[in-house]
Amino acid sequence: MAGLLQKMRDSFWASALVVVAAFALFFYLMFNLIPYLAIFLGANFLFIYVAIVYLLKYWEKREQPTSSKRPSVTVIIPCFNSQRTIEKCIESVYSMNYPKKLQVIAVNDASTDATLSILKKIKRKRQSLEIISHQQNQGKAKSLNLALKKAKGELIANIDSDTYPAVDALEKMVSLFNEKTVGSVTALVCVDKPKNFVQRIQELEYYAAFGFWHTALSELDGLLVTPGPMSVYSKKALLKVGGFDEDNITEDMEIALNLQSHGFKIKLTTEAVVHTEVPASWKSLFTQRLRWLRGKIFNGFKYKHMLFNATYGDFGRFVYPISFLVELFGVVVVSRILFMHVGNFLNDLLGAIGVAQVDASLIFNPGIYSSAVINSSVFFFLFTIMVWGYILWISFGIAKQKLKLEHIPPLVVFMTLYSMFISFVYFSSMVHEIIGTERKWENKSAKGVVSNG
Amino acid sequence: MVSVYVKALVITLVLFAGNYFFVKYLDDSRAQQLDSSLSELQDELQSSRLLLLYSQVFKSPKETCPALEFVITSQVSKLYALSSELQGIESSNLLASTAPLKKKFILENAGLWIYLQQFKSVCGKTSITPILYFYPDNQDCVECRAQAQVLNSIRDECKNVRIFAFPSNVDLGIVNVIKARYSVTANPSIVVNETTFSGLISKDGILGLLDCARSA
Repeated sequence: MAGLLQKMRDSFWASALVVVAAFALFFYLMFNLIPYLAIFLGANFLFIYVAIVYLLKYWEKREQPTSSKRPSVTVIIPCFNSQRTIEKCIESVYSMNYPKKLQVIAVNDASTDATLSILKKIKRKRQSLEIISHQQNQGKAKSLNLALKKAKGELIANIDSDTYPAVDALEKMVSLFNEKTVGSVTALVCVDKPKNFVQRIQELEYYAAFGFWHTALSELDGLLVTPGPMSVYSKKALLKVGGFDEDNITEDMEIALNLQSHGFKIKLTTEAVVHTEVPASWKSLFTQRLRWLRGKIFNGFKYKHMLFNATYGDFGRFVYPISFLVELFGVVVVSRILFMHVGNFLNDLLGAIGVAQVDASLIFNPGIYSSAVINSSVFFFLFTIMVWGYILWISFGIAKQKLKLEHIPPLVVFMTLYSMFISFVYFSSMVHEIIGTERKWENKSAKGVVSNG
Repeated sequence: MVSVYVKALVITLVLFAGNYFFVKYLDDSRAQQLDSSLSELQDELQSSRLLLLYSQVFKSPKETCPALEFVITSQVSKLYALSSELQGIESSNLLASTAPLKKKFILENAGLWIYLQQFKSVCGKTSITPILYFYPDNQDCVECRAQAQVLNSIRDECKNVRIFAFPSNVDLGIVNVIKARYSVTANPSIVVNETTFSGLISKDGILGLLDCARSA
């Protein structure tokens, strides 16, 4: 029996079947015990409440105190198969205005492409560039920790090899290290030259996420992540928390939670802008988000002591637990809708191919069609569109961008269908975590380029 | 100073209150629309009754019966369509009471069925084959929903068949009298050609009991 269980655990499909059956049972019970209207109203209440909390915090935005000190900075650039982007990245780093000389360390993590030779070529021009090269791939966190040991700066700027910081980014970020409790400063991450529809949607998403949401979160001292594309850390803080977790697939989120749990502040300046490459296809976007969300669940267990814990202020009391609740409700609402539509589709299909078909009212709770749900949906949809429109308008302002005609189609998808896609990724990430499939970094975008993000 | 959490809670509650009034307004509008459709049908039925009375008084069935039959068929169809609408409103409207509408509908349905019987006695015959269907109101009954589906299918297939649905547990004199006349004690029950059948009856079983004028 034990052997059989072990075999089932080892078999992906057997595990997947068990998890799908468990989810089906869970949703069946939940949907039969709790009327859809209650789920729908509960979820909307939560979403609206959270949006209003963040809007109020955003409106309360205060001027951040800055420091005139400019400590020494070490820039660490972990690279893996970055031949297409590494040169532009390093040139952007050297182009940054900063009064003190930068120590720049590039860590080639056993790239299988021309990354190392490009690094060597750059070094001939930029002799101060330090290169660490691994014979075997060791992962981003380990690369960062190795470079951290060689770092001489008081501050550590971690920059992804597919990211291009603006000339004043570092200067603006460093100015926010005005007290010892500041563990990290983050920037406004924008999509670098979006070329297709998937990237244009992400362009809007990044404006909203790193513009509005991060501003509101930082007002609550509640930033959940120090974005991988570029974040600056206090070296002392990094050493105090033990550096980056080498077993983590979202080390940028883990380090943020680690800093929060040690009482360090994470600040944000949207004046510092960095541009980064993003996935170019739905498949690669799904893979990236799956990693992010699996990392979030994994880190959720690791830092569960902070959930609903007032010791950690607004972060523990509100931001952190709410982030999970919003995701959970998103999954429940979207899966409820999908459950019904897939059921209807199968029912129609069975009818169309001549197999028995039953009246939809016999198999589905008519509550989902109720006018209360439909009319409320109209009300909440209009409200959501208005709030999202406002948030995007603010976010465009933060990023100093203007809304153009070409933004309209991705905007429509972003404000409607994209949340379903994200909920589907949430659901998948839960399934993957329960099944226990191996956590790993995606290593290819649609163009065959390694993505660090 | 009031925290953002409390402020946000108050704003959210105000928004939800706004949503409540929005939904209630739409629910009430739908119920009102159905009510006015029922009233229109009532007027039509009144007009038909006068026509039938004219036919009886002046003994002119040949002159009026074909027109009357056409009118009855149309009214039964309209009422049946309204029954689906009423069921929809009943299952979905949380904030508007549908009880008065339902009572009006049942009385209208009973009135139309009695009128059909009266028409038969005046005009001698009718091409309409009525089926009485009894189901429990406000109770989940899978067999009844299945029976309703079977009856819908028969109605779609046989253009001469018309369904008169009555909630068996509603306390209305006319419904009680009809139930007593046909000894209806179980749910679902149907009455075809003056014979009562209890429990779920299959489509073929019902088709065997009546002459189905298949739609072209």
